[in-house]
Amino acid sequence: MAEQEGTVGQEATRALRLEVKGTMRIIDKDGNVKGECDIVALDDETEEDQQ
Amino acid sequence: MQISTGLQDILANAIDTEVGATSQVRWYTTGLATKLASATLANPAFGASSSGVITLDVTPVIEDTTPAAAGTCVRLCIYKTTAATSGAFVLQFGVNPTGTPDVTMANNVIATTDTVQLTSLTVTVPVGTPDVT
Repeated sequence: MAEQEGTVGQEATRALRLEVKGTMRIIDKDGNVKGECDIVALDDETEEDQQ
Repeated sequence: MQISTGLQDILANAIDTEVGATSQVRWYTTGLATKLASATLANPAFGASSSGVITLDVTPVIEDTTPAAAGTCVRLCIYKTTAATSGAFVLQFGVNPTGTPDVTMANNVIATTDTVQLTSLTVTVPVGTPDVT
């Protein structure tokens, strides 16, 4: 029987990507919440600044 | 690919080890050009991993009540030392009002009179599954 080779592909490495969830907010001097939001991130995202 | 719960915990705890004893969260403008705000994290910053999940210690509240500069926040970063340069982060997140960034914040403009808070954060090392498809 011929020797078979296997390749560990992208799907396998994806099993180790981190998942991050959280929350942050910005409150103005009068105590009003200017911005409150969720943090949701996976470590394979490589987006550059969008601004 | 699937990994054991023990390995999940080792990998997750390694993040906390890398963050270290004197860690900070910092909010920056684009390109990490200007530090807008910062706050010291607890020691250790995260609790011990459980099933690959570490949770940031947010008691007392992690906040900056006197931001160093005013500007548009585009980066949220975790640093392993208060002396680190802007590029020496352990974790870095993108902040933007639109699109699908790590942090979607409708108003991401910080004033020096604002209070900026990091109210929760968990990091998960997924268990994965064996894939035969």
